[in-house]
Amino acid sequence: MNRHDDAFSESIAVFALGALPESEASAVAAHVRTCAECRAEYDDLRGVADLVGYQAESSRSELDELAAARMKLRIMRVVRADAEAPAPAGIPTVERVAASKRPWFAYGLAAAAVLVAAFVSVDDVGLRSHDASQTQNVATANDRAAQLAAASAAAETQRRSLERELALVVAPGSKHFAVPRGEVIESNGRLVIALTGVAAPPNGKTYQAWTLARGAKSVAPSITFAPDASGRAVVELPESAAGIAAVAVSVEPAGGSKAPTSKADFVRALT
Amino acid sequence: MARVRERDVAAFESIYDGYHRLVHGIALKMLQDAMAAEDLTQAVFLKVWSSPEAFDSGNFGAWIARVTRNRSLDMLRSRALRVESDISADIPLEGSLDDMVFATLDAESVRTALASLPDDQRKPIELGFFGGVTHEEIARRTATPLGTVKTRIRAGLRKLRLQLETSVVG
Repeated sequence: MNRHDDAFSESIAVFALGALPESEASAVAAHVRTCAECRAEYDDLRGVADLVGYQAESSRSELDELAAARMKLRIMRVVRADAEAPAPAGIPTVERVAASKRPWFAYGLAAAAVLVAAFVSVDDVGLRSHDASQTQNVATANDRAAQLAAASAAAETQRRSLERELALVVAPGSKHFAVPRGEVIESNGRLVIALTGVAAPPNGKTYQAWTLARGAKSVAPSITFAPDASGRAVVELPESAAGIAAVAVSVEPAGGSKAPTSKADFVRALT
Repeated sequence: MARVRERDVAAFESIYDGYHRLVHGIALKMLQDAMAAEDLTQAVFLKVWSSPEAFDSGNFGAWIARVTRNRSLDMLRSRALRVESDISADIPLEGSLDDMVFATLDAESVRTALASLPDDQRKPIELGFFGGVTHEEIARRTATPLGTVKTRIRAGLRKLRLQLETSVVG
């Protein structure tokens, strides 16, 4: 095949689209790298081929505001946590954030790290350059991805529950009531207690939530719970938010109590 | 992106706001799975944050569209247990003035330009990009001779380029 005949130009176009099989692509790529004329042809068509993706841009019906907000929250939490952490040389910043005392950030970060590790590749990172510094960047990125993956393997199974929780957190109209180490969230008629840095309850004890109905003179027992290994506790109360004036948490005997037996960790009015 | 390289969260957020629907849309169209599309969107943007040097210059939208397309293909192939190197990795695209000009395009302009192509040119282009299949597979699926498929892809991309240039110039 003549390198500059129509057939070869067509192969360049197919290559630019990304639809040329490996068996042919390597020869085309080798020529394009050294031939200015064919390089110009490739660049012209590749730039256009990449724009084809715009056709699929999600409309608001395909990605509604709630889903978009949830997705953004997940990503920005990881990014902010990473950006806020100082970066001594040689230690991946995001890894240190994962080990910090901010379980919420670490949680999302760890889940995300699995995905980063799964998708960061030499192929992509090196999309635009092959020089030595870029190669170093590629190696660094891949090392970082591997470390992230190692640090986050256990988080993947928790990620789905995080998504459900985040959907509650970012639901339109949700209300957030700050409490020590977290918040109470009222969303879509449901109540969620989200806490971080919670110590494990003493042996034979558990945490118990309490609700106070509007107009009631005493609290009613709600769900018992314990934090996970990272000190994180996110629990949805079985009670409807309608008519609830306040939420409290105390430490109670295992199995829970009918009435509080200890001073409340917090009492939060939902106003 | 220069500010993202300096770890500017606001700059990253701005990029995210500008391109998340593009990334999500490509992933959704290719994966046909809403949850997987969200996961992939997250993965792509976290890669932008963790490896901003991967993007050099030119049209960021086109670049991230290609990255998303390639990552989606990887996911599809891993699902199907197919060999990942079936389609060659591409070579770097040199930044050009065209990239910058095309950066002003929006999805509607591209949809309009694509819609203006004859079906026999548009379909193989869409199959090649979103389907991630080789021209041989495109030929098989469309019952068209291989040489004709290649001719149509080139003609279609050239025509698309002209349409987009016209769109930019106004």
